[in-house]
Amino acid sequence: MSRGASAGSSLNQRTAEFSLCNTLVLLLDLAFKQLDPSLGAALKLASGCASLYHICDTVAVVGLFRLQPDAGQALYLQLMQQIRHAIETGALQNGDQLPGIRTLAEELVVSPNTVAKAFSELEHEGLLELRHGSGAFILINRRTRQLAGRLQSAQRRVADMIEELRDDGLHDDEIRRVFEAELLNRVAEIARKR
Amino acid sequence: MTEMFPAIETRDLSKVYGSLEAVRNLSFCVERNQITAFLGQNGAGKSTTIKCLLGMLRPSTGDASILGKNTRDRAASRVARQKIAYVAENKPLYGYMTVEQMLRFTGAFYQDWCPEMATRLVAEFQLPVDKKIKRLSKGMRTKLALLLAFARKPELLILDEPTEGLDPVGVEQFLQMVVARAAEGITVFFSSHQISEVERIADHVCILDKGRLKVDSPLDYLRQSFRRMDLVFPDFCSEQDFRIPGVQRIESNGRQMSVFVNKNSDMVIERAKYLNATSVEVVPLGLREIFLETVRGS
Amino acid sequence: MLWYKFWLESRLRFLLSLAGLVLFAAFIVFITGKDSVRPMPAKDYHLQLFVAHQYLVGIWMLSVVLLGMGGILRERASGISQFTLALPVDRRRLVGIRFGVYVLESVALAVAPWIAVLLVTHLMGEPWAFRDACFFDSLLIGGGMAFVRLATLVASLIEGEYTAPAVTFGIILIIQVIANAVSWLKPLNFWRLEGGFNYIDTQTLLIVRPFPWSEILLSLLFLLLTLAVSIKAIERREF
Repeated sequence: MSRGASAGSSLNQRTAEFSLCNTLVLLLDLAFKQLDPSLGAALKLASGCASLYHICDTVAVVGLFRLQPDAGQALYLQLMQQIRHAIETGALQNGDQLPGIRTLAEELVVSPNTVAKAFSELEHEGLLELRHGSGAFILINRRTRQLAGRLQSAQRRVADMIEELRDDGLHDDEIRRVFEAELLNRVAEIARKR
Repeated sequence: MTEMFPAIETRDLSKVYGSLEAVRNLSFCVERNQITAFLGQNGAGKSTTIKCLLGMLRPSTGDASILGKNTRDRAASRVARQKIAYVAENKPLYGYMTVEQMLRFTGAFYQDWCPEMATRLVAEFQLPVDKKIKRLSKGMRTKLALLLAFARKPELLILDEPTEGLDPVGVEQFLQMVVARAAEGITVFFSSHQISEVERIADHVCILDKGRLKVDSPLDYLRQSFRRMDLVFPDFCSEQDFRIPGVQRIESNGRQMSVFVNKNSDMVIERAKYLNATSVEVVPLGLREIFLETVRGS
Repeated sequence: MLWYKFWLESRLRFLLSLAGLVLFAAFIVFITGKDSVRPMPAKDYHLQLFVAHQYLVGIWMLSVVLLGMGGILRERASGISQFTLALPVDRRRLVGIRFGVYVLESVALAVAPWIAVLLVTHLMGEPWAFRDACFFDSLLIGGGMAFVRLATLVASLIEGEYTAPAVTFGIILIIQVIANAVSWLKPLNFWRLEGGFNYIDTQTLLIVRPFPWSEILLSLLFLLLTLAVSIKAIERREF
């Protein structure tokens, strides 16, 4: 199984840039869910685009997803994030079929349950349509586009704050830890109020 | 055909050798359609447990069943073994046989043997079919031992330190094969010292320490619950203040304190804030650190 | 496939023993017979027969004990038993089939040299009686099964690669010494059974007693008993 080097590397650069933002947005996402369970994840519209080619009607994921087991975040969450990211960059479009669970698991060398969980969660969020027997298809519609708006502005605000913190001399790791500590604290407060 | 019982189940399993308790009151389940990793230091009792499951050892007390069959029942155990593929830690093979003889021999015992798969893997691993096994290199022996398990479609795959002896390319091939089998519905139960490999493919993790089960959880849960909190206080703070359920260990040094938790990290943060901590940092722990924390002297 | 495995396991030892026994038998017969007077007087003939048989008994016993070593317990020492015992096969079958292969090989090792002897003597012009060959061969096989039994028992109880044959030979030696020394234990002396000492008039070296059907049958019965004990020992063993 080969990996498309050129297509992958530019995506990886962009993915690295976005990863901090994505992690924070995801944490905010989870925090939102604590407050308002009806909020599902939404599209993150972002600049840039990536190259893509279709093979036999299934999207080739060559180099599209990279999971890091030691990043302290569950693998299925990382995969969900990256699928959402691929959607917002346009790498995955409405109606595209994702590779089957087995194929994707083998490509990423992760447990098929991880892939299945990611697909299932995304289906709950309305981003994927799981057709029994056929596979997983990307679903982008007006509702999900609307939900994208809120997260999109959140992302802009978070990006600004990160820049400020970086200017103050904080490292990305420190920024992440501070955010997580605050979020956990907030979760504890909410739990206490209930 | 879906079976409702777990692939492996032990109830208070103990194996005692005189005064040495190799395994003590072990109760756990390996669910079907999952990849379960079995971690532990050398001598923690992993191989002993596996041998009890396969009928090679008799439990001192307690029970174990594999694919629904009690391991104390010899005839039932034999039926269960038809659907189990096991690769022991030392990759046992008959040195006096050639590769081809070994394949033919093994294939004759299992109805789920796939000759086409065997042929394909032999070519992929570049194994010399006419060479006697005792003349093969360690890497080739390992590949052959794994091949004998992967050229089948068992219900349960038990692997003890499977990647020992494989180069990085071999390890990658192996992990892909495991994942492919898991996708076909085969339950995988493997023990390994290679935490990085476990972190990639395991759904569930069991950690054995000195014969006792210390951790038995889904990997995602472990990743989300185990945390290290680095706290700084304006004045010296007593560890007693942090005796909260879930706190595994505290390292304190004057005004600094590191709290290791396996759950309730939010409660620790609350307490820290209550005690006016000037700095609270939360660090997620990888599986390696989780493992080390678990087997550190208790 | 288990027959095949046990055959492959013992193949080298078996073929070496076979070659050794056959060549040795042919050689002995050739050497002792070529200078004798033609036609051979009866006494010389019976002496030759008897002596050749003693040699064969000795070498056969050695080969058979070494052939009997090994088995599932030996595999435990090298860890190979983890493969064999993971197979969907009863331990009973593992022990039983290996035993069957061993017995067949032992019989083959007893029969082959006598066939060689008959051939060589035929070619030399002084053919030995088929009936005599059968008699001595049956004694060898029937009585010799004692060594097969002993080797099997030791191999199912003692794991060491060198300890097991050492113990087997040690026991044989002790039994021989005791049986020789103590007169009422003489019947236990397997060598005498196999060697035919009990059945021959020491002067004429003619076979005087009838064929020991009952002793041979008893020997075979004990063979089955040994198998049962050996199976039990392996079934109870922890691997």
